[in-house]
Amino acid sequence: MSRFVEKTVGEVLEYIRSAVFSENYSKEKGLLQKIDARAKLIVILGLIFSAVISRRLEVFITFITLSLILAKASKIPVGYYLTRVLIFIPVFTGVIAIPSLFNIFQPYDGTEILTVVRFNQEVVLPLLKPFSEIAITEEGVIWAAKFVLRVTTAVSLITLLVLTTRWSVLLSAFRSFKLPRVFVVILNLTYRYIFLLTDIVLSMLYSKKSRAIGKEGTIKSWRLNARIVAALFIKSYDMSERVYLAMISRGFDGSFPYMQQSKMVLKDYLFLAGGLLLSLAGAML
Amino acid sequence: MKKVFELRNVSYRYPAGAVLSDINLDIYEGERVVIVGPNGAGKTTLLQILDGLLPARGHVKAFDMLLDEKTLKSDVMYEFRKRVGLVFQDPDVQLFSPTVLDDVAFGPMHLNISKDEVLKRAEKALRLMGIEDLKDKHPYNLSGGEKRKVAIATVLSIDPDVILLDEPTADLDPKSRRELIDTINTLSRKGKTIVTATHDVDAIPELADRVYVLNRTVMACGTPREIFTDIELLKKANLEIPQIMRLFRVLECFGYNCEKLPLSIDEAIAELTRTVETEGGHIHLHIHEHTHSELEKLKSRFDHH
Repeated sequence: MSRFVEKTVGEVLEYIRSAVFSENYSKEKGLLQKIDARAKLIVILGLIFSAVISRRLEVFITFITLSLILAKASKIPVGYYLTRVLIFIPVFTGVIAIPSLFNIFQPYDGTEILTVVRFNQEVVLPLLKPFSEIAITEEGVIWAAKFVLRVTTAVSLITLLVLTTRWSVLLSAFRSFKLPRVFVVILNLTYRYIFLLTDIVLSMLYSKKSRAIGKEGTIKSWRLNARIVAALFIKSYDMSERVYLAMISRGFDGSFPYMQQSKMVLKDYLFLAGGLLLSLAGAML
Repeated sequence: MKKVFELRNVSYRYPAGAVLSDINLDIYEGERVVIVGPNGAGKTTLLQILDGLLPARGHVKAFDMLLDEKTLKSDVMYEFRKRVGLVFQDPDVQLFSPTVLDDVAFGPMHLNISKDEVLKRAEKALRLMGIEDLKDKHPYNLSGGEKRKVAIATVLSIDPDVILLDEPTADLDPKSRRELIDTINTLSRKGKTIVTATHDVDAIPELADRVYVLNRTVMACGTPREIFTDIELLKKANLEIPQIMRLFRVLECFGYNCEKLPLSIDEAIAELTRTVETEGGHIHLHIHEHTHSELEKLKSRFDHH
């Protein structure tokens, strides 16, 4: 069990680290990298919103194609981009999309295209409408396909944003939109300290391992891990106190001004206008 | 000379108990003061009191301003923060922004100056520490020495008169440590008052005009030479002497005649040059009948004081 925790923490850490810090593509000189983060953020959010409310397959397919073209234009290898996008789709959508293929869930009476099982009598199950057969319906397939495509569209778009924008720049874009200060400060500090804290957890796990002789039982191992959690809590609390003092020392008075260095120029406004028009078109269709 | 800090009968208690009691201390403008003491002696707490972060009991005066609990909470502190900067021991505590530039700009941004001026100041501080290329990095991706330099830059960008440094040489490699000591002395030559808390005794001769020995209270105060030649004090305060000084103690056992034990490399060079010049072009060392017993005595003193 302890090995499991260690491996999980290690891998989660490694994944986030590579996702956040492998800012390789955000440093490339591609199309999206040249666009101001604020314009990019609005356009991407607009397109996602449009994809979420749209009911037309064409809209999804257009947006997905568009994001592939943008990825290519931003010097992101298409293979890498597709893996980043597709890796999450089955996990997040499968659970929701698969049941809706069948007639026993909504919509109850669709056009059946494939009967899976036929029962001799009506089956009554709690929470479900009584049914005598299980079949895949045409409406169900279309609904599931639209759902999966909708999620894929959203994920492709957000992945584009994340891959082509540095986190610090994205955060200052959030700040310039006058989001509630608390929200942005918390995001900032999370971004700053999450790796430090995960590193502490890992080194605590290793130090435990280096001193553990023989096999430890599951219960015992859980107890030890609980202590690590407690120690981490105390450490981070203590650290937050000191960080606060360090802020006070440099004149912190509750406000959190930021450095916005870039100015939106013509190409950013053009991108913004184009993106918003497209979003509007997608939403209207 | 003008007084920067004046502390009289100052004490501080954490919920767990007293850390500092009966502290009397004066720091003058342009001085380099080192506060030395073992772990847990209260050095960090004392620096935080000097930085107006912790409300202490007793009389704490900074630039003719009484720092009591009421003042610490008032707007007057704004002026104080412009004049005093503290470099925390743990750079991870000091660097809380997503990029190095954001962090270095954090102080000036609270000074009510224009954004251009903020940027200019931040860049100047980065240049002063020779770390312009780290500007866009995330603090997590910096090495220990780089983090320390950025931490100092975050204070320099405010351009304070007084710089307080908490264990600045801790966990630095020898080269970074050397550079840091030079940087601190450059700042001192520019007229800054520098207060350093450390237990790095080898750095003291290079960083201090005056030394305060602290162990929950002020045990002694004097020049580095006065402190390091006071055997009783060293024993009581659990302090070591600088390596250079030890070496010359060893040389004395071999018959080297040294009036004034050198504390630093510079002093050692001067001392050796003088000896060579006055003693006919060479240094004479030999083993005499007491050499071995003296060496034994010396070694046991280094081990236990």
